[in-house]
Amino acid sequence: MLLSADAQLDRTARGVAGVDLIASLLREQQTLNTAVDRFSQLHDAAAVPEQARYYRNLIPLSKPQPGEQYAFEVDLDTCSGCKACVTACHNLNGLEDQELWRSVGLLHGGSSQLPVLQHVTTACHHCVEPACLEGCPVKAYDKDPITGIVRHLDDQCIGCQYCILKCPYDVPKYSKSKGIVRKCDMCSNRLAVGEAPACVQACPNQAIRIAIVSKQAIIEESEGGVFLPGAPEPRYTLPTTVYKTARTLPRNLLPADYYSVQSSHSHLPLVVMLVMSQMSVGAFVIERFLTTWSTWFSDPQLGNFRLAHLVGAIGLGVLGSVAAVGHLGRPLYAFRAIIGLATSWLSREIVAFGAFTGLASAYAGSAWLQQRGLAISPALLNMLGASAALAGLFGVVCSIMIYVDTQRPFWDGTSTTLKFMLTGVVLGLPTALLISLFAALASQSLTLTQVMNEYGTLLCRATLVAVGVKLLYECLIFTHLRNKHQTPLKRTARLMTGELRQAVVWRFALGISGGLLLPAILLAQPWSGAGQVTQSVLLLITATALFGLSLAGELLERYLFFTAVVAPKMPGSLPS
Amino acid sequence: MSLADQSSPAPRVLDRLRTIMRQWDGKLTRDLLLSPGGFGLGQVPADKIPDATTNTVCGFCSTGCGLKVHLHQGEAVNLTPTTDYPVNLGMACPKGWEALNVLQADDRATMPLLRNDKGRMEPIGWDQAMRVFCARIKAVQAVHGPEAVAFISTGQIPSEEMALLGSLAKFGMGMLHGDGNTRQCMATAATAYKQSFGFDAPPYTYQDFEESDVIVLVGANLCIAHPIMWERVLRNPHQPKIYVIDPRATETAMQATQHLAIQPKSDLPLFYGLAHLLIRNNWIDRPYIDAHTSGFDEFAEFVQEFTPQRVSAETGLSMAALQEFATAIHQGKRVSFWWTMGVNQSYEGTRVAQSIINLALMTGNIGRPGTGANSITGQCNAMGSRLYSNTTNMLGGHDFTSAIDREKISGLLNIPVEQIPTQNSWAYDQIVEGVLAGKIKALWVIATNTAHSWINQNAVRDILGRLDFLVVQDMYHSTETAQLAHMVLPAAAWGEKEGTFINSERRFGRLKRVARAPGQALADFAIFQLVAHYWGCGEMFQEWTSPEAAFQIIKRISRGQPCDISGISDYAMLDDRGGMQWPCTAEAMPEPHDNQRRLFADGQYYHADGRAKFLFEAPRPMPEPPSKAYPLILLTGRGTASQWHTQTRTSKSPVLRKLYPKEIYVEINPADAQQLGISPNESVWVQSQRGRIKAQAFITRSVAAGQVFIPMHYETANQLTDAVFDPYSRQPSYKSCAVKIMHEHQLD
Repeated sequence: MLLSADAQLDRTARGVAGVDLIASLLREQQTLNTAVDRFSQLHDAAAVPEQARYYRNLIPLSKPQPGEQYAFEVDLDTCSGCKACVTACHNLNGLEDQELWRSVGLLHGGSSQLPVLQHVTTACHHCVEPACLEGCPVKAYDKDPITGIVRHLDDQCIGCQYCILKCPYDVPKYSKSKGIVRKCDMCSNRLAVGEAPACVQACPNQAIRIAIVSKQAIIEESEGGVFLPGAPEPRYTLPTTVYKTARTLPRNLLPADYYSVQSSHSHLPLVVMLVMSQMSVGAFVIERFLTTWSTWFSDPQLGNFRLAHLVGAIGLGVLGSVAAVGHLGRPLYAFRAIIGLATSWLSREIVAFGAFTGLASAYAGSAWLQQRGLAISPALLNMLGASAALAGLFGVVCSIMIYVDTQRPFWDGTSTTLKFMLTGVVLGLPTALLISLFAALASQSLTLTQVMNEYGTLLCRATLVAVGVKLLYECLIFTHLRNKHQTPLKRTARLMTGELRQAVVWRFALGISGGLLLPAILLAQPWSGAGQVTQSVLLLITATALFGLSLAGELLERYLFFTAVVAPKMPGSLPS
Repeated sequence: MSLADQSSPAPRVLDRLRTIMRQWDGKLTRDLLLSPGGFGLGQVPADKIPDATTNTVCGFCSTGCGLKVHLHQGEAVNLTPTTDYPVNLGMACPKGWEALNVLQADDRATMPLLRNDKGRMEPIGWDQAMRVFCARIKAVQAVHGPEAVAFISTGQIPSEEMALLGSLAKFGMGMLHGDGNTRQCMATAATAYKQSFGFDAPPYTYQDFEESDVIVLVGANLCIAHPIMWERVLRNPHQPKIYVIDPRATETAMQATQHLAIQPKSDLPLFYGLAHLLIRNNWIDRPYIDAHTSGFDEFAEFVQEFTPQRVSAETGLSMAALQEFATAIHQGKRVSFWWTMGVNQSYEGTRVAQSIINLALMTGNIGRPGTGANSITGQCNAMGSRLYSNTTNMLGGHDFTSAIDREKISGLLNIPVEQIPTQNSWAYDQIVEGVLAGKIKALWVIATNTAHSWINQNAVRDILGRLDFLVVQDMYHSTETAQLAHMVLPAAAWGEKEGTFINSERRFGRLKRVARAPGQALADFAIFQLVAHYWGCGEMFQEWTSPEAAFQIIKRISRGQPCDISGISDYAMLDDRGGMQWPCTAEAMPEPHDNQRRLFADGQYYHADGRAKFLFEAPRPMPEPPSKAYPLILLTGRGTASQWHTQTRTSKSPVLRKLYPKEIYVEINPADAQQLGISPNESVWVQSQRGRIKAQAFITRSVAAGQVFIPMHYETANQLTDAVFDPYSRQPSYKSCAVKIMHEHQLD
């Protein structure tokens, strides 16, 4: 107050120089005590918050009984789309700048005589069977046994973001700065002391309340497969939010963002991890195959070949795992994934690939010892090899299930299985070829052309077939463009012919040149020469290019796997 | 914190191990910790617990919501809507919730900027800025006369600031012409009231929303533009019938008992037709008409030709719907009529507003709870601008052309009467025309964004470019207008300064300094003080030492006027009472708990004869009807509740940005889209005779066939609009012009 009194004195003094006046005005501008000194409100020790007068009837008086839980109840007839709930949730929960736990979508339709606009406020549905919780590899979700609130344990989270893929309602939000996911917990701490959640407190129209619902009723209501027009079907997770209206909603209601498609997150570390791990398993299995079926390859004299092959395969797998760890927001806590084995395919994947790496290393180690002259029982070797291959294959199956389990049509069982398994083949074959050729180069007794003649051409032929099948299958997505309806797969196809077009062109260009043209060129050559230097060099260059182009093509395929998928979500408003 | 942790009998090591494997609590969990906030708040984020709170009114729209600012050591850390403020009753729209967050922005103006010889903006000190400002304006005045400099004021700054600005510019600096951006939103309502009632006096209080049994909303989308007023409608316990008159099927129309989707600009025939029906059925309040109005018989005669047949043909409504609407008004015991920009922003808006006023007068629906012909205002202090900006009216609703009024103000302000202009100033559009004609050479724009919001934008940008000296005083240096300026003066924003706003229901509310202005930004009040000093007329404004001192001056000016607030002792009283509505004299002070007041309970209006006037005029055709070349009618308006006007503020909140569409869009009816072959989300050209813009097609039945809608918040929208004005209010007619829509590749 002193300062501002000074300032006033200064200002009224006659003849005050301009600069003095400026200085005093600037000083006063930075003085903040006025509001506190004169107008601040007395501390009100009252236990009941003032706002309680409005929300008292919007929260339950009692705790849910067994078989019941808390749920959001939204009165669609009074939700008028102001979005105060979104901002109140943000500010009363102290969320990060960009972080929103609630959103408001818009459904529109009706007839020209009776148009319908229906705003829909939505947050976490605190599902009876939360997909986030089931998928979490570290049990960072907890469904409260009494209230049914699905809470995220922020300190338990490792930031794998699988819950984001699992939740069909786009609820969990990833914070890059914190390296974890966070989500609505129905303001459980507020409810615990009899206060209403922020959104309930803030809705000017009292359109949101907390209700107690019977889980059995939720299950029965979900049976019809309709949760809210434009929303994902409810049988997957049994969402509990009750949307009620006294009106009849027209059949043609569509979300305002229905026709817009946006590419999804590319998850580059996962792209690398998936491709590398599948290539690794592929290469390993091919080694097993060659060892078992080719007498030439299993010749003990060629032990170095096999070792090189194995080290290469395992190395790729390790690289993939490193990439996967890079994807985590909190990689130091990755070990926690062990506790999710019972429910999470992600946990199983981690364990399976861990086992694969271990067993494959043991196998390689034994083979190396055998090479050094140690007597290792061939049965043990075989057993180790077979177990490693099985673990690797199981790892790939887990990878497949991770995505299949998200219920997204672009990631369905057939498509994901074909893609992931064939990636193993499409890249495992060139890996085997390349390693064999380089091993032959290093060997004094063998020539590159020998490798080609013994099994190189076989590998090339197999590559041709596998790549052909895979590329053809991938092309099938474009048939959905003809669909009359905006199915998720049509949206994917639209994305791939629109926003992601360039990546698609490159994917097929690389796939065709690396996986079809180059193997064909190799097959067209007669590998009977006496191993002339130029031929060897050409052969090496071609095989390297074959490997490199195929790898790049598969990485792009996987990039598109992530970016072109259409994530289910609640009805949105016009894209912001 | 987990139950398992507490109940486990396992040794500590095992506990630790278990925590390592499954951690229920920790730093990340505590990031979201809530704690009791005290001050009646309930739980708040633990890192934002206030040590004091203070109430302030919101600085976006005219609803005038109370916001409880959470303070820590005098500085705002958070806010919540004030539970017991009589306006908003503990609620706020997203803009209010985010009011503090828009203050933090990289493009806040922090230093005065001057365009240098190379055309670049260069930061300078205040001293230099003031010297240059005064020198250049005086230079213009020396060559072209004092009236060659004009100012554009705003409805976004407190009354104290606008009164000082208006007085400084006109009495101190010799300017003749000044207007405000309120010309774009409220001029029509102000003019209509002034002509009908004898003073610009919206008669209602928000409580009326809760007390009506029939609510008529005209060109008003409360759900989106005034969500808190819609809150008040929903609190109405009388199951009111709600009639929404709007060409668009808006959110508010969805909630209506009956949506009357009239043809654009057929509102005047509609209300005349309604009057016709009411008179024909003798559903009028003859005693009230006789006692308190004038001109009814001429009006009754005039509306005879507005037969249901004619009105039905012009509005597109069925005769049955008209009859039903008339019946509802007749049967209503407390009918209130409310209008906003759908009426005001029209080439014949004044007469439309008066056609609504006429309905209230003839049915006696005025002066009682739940009634009234009520204009809902736009900006937070549009009402202050109407009374104290010293632009169209002299301070306090006085008249520049009246010698008596000039003497009065001269005496009250201790200003030589010769310093007071004897003529009214030009309206906004005339100032713009004046620039074009070379009569205005320098323009001082305060807290508004002409280059975005003015009608027919391409023309106005060209015109602004012709000025010798354009000064923009704003909180952001990035507004479209600031980018054209020769000088930018950095202003402190809402939340960084003091003063009062007057809301739609005539309620004075306080705004307070709860945040530090960035850099050298100064409150507009302080900037005006500086200008007065450097101009050399500081002595004339000696008494204006602070906003509160200015408030006392405003009080003095109001005494004896309809807007008399001489009973409000000071800012503290406003704070204690939750704002106070005018009039409020010491003789007729409301009881402290009586916080809802309305006008005309006694049927006494402000005309000399104490009567309200029936005013009317034959409807005119739309200035630019759809044609073969431009077959669609373009409507403009508010997009979402998260957007404010030209978005200089609302685009600065990361949260608000997520709540509205990023890119400009155009709503098109499916029938038109089909005919034009436009698919959903297609990027299309929208072209009028004045401009062509790109927008994303949103195909929706909320616009009728033959009409399209574009929200005003996007920069290019006003490239299309047609500079046509209401002849009485001179308000731009934003809401109807002819456009065509083409595919992106279809350029001609």
